[in-house]
Amino acid sequence: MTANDAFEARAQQAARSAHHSVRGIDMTGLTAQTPTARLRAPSRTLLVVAASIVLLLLVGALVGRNVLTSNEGVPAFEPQPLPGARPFHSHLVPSVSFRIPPKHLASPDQADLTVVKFDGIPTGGLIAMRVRTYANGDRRSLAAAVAADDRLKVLRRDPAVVGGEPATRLVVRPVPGITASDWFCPTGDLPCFTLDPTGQTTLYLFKHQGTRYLLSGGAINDSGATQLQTIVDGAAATWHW
Amino acid sequence: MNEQHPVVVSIGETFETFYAREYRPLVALTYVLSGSPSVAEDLAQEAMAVTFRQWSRVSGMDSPTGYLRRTAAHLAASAVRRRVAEAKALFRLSAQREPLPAMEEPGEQFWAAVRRLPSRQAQAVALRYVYDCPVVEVARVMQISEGAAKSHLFRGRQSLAKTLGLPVDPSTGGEVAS
Repeated sequence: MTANDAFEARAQQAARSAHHSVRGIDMTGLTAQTPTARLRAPSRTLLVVAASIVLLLLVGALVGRNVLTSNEGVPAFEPQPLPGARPFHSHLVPSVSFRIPPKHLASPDQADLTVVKFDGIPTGGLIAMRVRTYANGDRRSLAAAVAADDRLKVLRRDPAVVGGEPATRLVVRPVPGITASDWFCPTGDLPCFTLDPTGQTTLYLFKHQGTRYLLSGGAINDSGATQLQTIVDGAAATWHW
Repeated sequence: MNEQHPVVVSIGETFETFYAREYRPLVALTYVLSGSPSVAEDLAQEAMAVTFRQWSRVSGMDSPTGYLRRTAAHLAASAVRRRVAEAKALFRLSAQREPLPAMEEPGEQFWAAVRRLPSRQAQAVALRYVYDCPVVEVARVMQISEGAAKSHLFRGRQSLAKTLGLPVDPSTGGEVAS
């Protein structure tokens, strides 16, 4: 038996064990709980204790995320069709808008993070977010921090303007083995999208009222990344605070 | 918005059929990723609820199951969601409902090691073995390239082999059998 066989056998045994443990599961699922279950409601003390625990856990989790991560929340892809080129109003704070090319899909966004997924580009999208901290430490500017990040290779660096603010436009390529979940989403909870190690990505980095912003796009392959470069440039060119 | 209106399914199977087929294996997935039998049911139901709300759109996708499994894997990987589910499970257990039985060893030992992996590696390994699906399917569910899925699986397997005291096969060279 090879090492590979030994691992496969162990993994398959563990999978069987997992399936075995759910064999007798209640399939009522999404239906309401039975009246008897509702009648046996927890005591008031238990409710208060449980609510306090939930509150503490939620506060702890939120504080932890704020301190440890460079972006907040996760994008929920729920694309809606946009009939033609028109401003897309994000929920970034402060509010911004930019033009979305026609015949693409836009997803609802949330404060601090805007994700727009495009139907014509495989697993590709535009992302705009506030950057509270950067993984390799705070430097004199966000552009300097990104340029010094050994997970990315900077192919091109140009001065630019976004929303009337001086900005830096970088074209980067993740080094082999680095994906978006390693870089955009340091917590690894959810990937915003996946960057192929060979794909180029355009980044706009700028500040507004003391807050740092990143505007970028990502795709799963080189052709998608190429298409997104023009979309990212278009969003930067039409960005309004 | 969808929950305020009847869900109209124009193509594909009904949600009830989908639910009956997918629910149990989904609980197995959330169980191995969360480590808690009671939390697993709540996470699976939440993933089902998310899918149900979007069913008119999801049922038209190439792979509604991929959407469901991805949603569940993401929910299980989110610390906040897990803690909310734990709190819900606390209430549920207080209502005397029977939780799932604990998993037997050495399955539990294997999945405990999986949960200590980086979340993307853990998701890839769980999808690969719980569903016994090939790498290409793992990639499709996770919406990543096949190469990235192989990389997650390879790294995850190397770590697991080390943790579990299994021999590491140097001949795999980064490839993971499909």
